[in-house]
Amino acid sequence: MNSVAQQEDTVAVHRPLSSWIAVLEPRSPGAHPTLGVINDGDERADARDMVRFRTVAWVRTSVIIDRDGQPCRVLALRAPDRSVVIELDDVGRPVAVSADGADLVAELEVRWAGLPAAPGTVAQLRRESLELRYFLLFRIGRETAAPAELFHCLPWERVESAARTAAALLTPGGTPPVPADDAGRPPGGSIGRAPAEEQLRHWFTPAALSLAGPLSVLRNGLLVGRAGPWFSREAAALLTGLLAVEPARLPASTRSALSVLADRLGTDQALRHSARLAAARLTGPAPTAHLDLTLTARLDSDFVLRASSGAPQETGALLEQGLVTADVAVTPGGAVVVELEISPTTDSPVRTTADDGPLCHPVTVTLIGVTAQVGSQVRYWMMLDRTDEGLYGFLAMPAPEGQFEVGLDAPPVALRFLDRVPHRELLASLHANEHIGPSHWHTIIDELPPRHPAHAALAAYEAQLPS
Amino acid sequence: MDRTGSRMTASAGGYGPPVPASCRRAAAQGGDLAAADAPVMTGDLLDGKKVLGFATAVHGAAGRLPSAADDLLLLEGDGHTGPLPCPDGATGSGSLPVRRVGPHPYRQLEPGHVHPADELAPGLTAAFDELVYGPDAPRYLAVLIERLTGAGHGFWLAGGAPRDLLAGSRPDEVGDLDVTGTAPAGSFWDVADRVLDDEDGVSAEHPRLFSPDTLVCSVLPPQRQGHTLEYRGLGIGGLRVPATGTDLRQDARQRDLTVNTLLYDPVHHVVLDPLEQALRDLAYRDGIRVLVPAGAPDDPETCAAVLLRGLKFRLRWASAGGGRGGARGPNDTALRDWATALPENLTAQLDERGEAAWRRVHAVADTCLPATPSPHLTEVVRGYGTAAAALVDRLTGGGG
Repeated sequence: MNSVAQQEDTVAVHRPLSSWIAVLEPRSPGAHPTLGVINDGDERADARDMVRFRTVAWVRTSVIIDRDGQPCRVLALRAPDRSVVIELDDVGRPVAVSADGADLVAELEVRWAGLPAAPGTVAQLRRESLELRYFLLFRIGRETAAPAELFHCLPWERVESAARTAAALLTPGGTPPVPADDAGRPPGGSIGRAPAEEQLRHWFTPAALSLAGPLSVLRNGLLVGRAGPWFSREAAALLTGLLAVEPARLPASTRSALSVLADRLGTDQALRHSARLAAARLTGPAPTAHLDLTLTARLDSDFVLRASSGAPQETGALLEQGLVTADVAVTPGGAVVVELEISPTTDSPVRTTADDGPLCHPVTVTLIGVTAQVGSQVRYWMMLDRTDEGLYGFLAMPAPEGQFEVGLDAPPVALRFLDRVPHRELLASLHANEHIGPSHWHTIIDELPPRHPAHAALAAYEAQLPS
Repeated sequence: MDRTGSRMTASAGGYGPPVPASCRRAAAQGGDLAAADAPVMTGDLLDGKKVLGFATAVHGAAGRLPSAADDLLLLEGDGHTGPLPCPDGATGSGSLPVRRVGPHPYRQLEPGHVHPADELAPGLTAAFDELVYGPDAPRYLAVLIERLTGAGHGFWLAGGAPRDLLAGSRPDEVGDLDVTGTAPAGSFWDVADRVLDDEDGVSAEHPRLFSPDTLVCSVLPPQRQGHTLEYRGLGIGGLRVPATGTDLRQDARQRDLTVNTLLYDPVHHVVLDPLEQALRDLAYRDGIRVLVPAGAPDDPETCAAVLLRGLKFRLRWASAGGGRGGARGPNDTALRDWATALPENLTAQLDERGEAAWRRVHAVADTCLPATPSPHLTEVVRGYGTAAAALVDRLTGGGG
């Protein structure tokens, strides 16, 4: 780090938490001060990155201003020349804070490199506005090795409520828990969309991505009986988020509610393994207990090459977890072959991934060992054939050099929802599904929406086939 | 069929795609009284007063985006005197006896204003489609466009996207997505909120921003780096309060340069050139780009902003060159003539506005001028007259 950056780090202890600030403009004695325009007109800028906050030592403070005709204490910063800026939320309103809350923010900023996460700290933060908590945790998550417990100050009861509702609606004959008031229900008592204040939105993204968003959409869709294909996308997105989240960032009650929901999602055979693994991560007896449930295989291409005398050998692994069996092998010809079978269940899920069309199971190949590209990962999508005997898929991919890991833990997704997958990944996947020929691909892909990238991938695949 | 029931043809004083069906419902219900769900347009009449545009009442619980109930009609006379109309003047209310005589945007246009995209440049529609519907486009965008246009609102890509794609840039080279339309801010959020909350989980986690200063509605990615979308209703000028409208020419005139007045309709695949100047000045096929101020501002801050943005493009295009068909540029004669005619006391006028005005001008300059002043910049500015030189001197610390 150069000396300029070091100097800025020393000076810039207290900087805006929000993206937007407004200068508090003094008026004549006796008159209320007014707020300048957001970021002095540069609304696209992030106030935290502004030069003035990196080169001048601002002090954390709070001021009382008039907000909607009422006095309100709001979060602020004061410069050495006594000028003051107010921190604004995402609709340009000053961020409310208590006097104790402002003091706590100041203390946290001083101890940014080693943040405390005492219960008292979390309790104080819970008393502050949601906007302040969100902005603080957003910065903490980006800039520090954030203590997991700090994220417990978010209103996780909303997540728990959404999870319980969704789980109930995924239970045969289940009804969602009755809310504290009927504001969310239309006349007649029928189930309706959750009210605006119950939408989870972005508030929880400092703690975890792809968790609150898919959960909210899942809950909303189940509440209104949403038609059309959507369920497998949100179920897969939620399970992906649950497989990625740091469990300690969620309170125990939230982990429990999400685990119950994961179990309900797991009544669908295609989602069973991912759901089981997600539930284990959330509520397992030990942080690593779930590792025994993973479907991963470590392989070595070089081992196969070194076995050059005598009969050609394969190196491989047979993976079994619950309903799933996967045979993973490296062939002497330099291919990684994955054969996957998912047995049917006796469950009758309320909603099923089968409603959304053909499924694709993600298969990841991650380089490990001492190489310059360690950690780099390639993903393929294995088409799953659905029969009365269950789900079946087969891939043959080029084997990377050296040691690598094949992963099968992520949930499958309907092909129609792979419309954000890069072209090269789709194209490579078409080639890797060796048991599927052009005619069958057309049967699957021609039905997709016209702008789906699979059409272009199929055209490129056909152009690359030997004539 | 326009909003009064007349069938639209090229000879009937209008040209372009058909007026949306929701607007035609007004005629089907008889007379010219409003259908409850038909959008109000600039030029409509309420109690004999002409609708100029829409403001947004800013109130309510912290963190709440405005809704259609917060949209306010600005009537002739309101914009220049007196307080804002009370919230009862909501735009979408079926209880308002609004006479629908204001023209839908496509009724405002002549043939020379509307161009099928592929007639301007082969493959242009595909390029726009990739931007709006492709793998890198926000997943909510297609549904948002469908819902807004289905409700009778106009929706167009604006600013850099149509300008740069026409000039030959690839979709992945286009920066932030700026869009505009006829929906006031609250009406926009009524639709956008629902789409973001209900369509898919990725979109649901996008933060939503609304500026009461400018009525800009933004959607950010969860990591809050950049914008996935920035919407602001069609611009109108000359009012005391932040406001939007539905007049395409008014919108064009309050933009900075003519090359930035192009609009693209992603539903009908047409490019709009409301001033019938932008395509010529962009020189998108070949030739030299021309930098021309789009309007005739007299406010000193607006003049400063136009000047600074003009300098930005002057410097950018002089160094980049190239473009579709090898367009060279730019020709900044018109911009220089305009700048040279600015009052020499421009900086003094800004001084009179106070420190807050200079902070706002500095904010614009930060996005337009190079971080380190250069002899080249000084040389360029010298040709822009006294006011420009004094302004840039003050902003770069070179004098004043």
